[in-house]
Amino acid sequence: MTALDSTFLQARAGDRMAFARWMGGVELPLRRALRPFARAVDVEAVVQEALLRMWLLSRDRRRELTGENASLRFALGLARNLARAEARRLGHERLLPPEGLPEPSVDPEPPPDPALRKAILGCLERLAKKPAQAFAARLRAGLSADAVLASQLGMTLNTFLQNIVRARKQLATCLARKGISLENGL
Amino acid sequence: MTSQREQESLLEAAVTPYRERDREGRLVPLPAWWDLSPEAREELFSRQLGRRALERAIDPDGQSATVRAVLARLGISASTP
Repeated sequence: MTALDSTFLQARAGDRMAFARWMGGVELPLRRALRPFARAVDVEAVVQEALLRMWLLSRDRRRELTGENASLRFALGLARNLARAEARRLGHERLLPPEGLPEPSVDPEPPPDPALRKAILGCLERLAKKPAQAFAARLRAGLSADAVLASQLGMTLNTFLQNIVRARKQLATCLARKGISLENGL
Repeated sequence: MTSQREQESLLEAAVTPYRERDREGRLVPLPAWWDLSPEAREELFSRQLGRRALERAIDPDGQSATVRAVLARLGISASTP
């Protein structure tokens, strides 16, 4: 049994934070697997919906997942099915990839690298004040709309977004100076 | 025709993990997403992936803003045993 399977089993036994850890290990592989659907659907919404449904699955005692990284492989199939259904609902079938795409490799994400964390935090500290405020607000917020975050900072929505754009560019420049290139940039 | 500045704002507006639900309870795309071309949505995908990786990298619990959004929807906070 892999570490990820073990974590999912803990979640099934009622450990809510185990489910949080499980999501931390599968979110990025799930997201990468949805790249072929990026033109047709809002991948962010599909990833969140897939994770929410995996929570429901973890509560269902009748369902059993077997095989190595079974929970990740199941989530992957679920997410791709959700993406196809969503594309049809949106009338975006022509933007879908062909049926029968080969299953992508499904390795869980390794734990975060402490050295990378330190380097990113160092760069975040060097951001200009307003871009730093906007970027930090976004980092903290998962269920708050940008309009709310902007209002809390005394910014218009457009200014808030422009500040995040500035923060992203400053951060990318700082990380590049340190020889760090994040996957797909920022 | 969208200017470069407007395009950057649209992309940034859609990078957020914040999503609303419709009346059927489905998570729906933000208005900014609808204003992006299919090609721009591929760029959005890359930016979202990069941003979620960054969030995960700096979070003490290894959670991206997406994971935190899902936990909040489930009513689970970091302090919940």
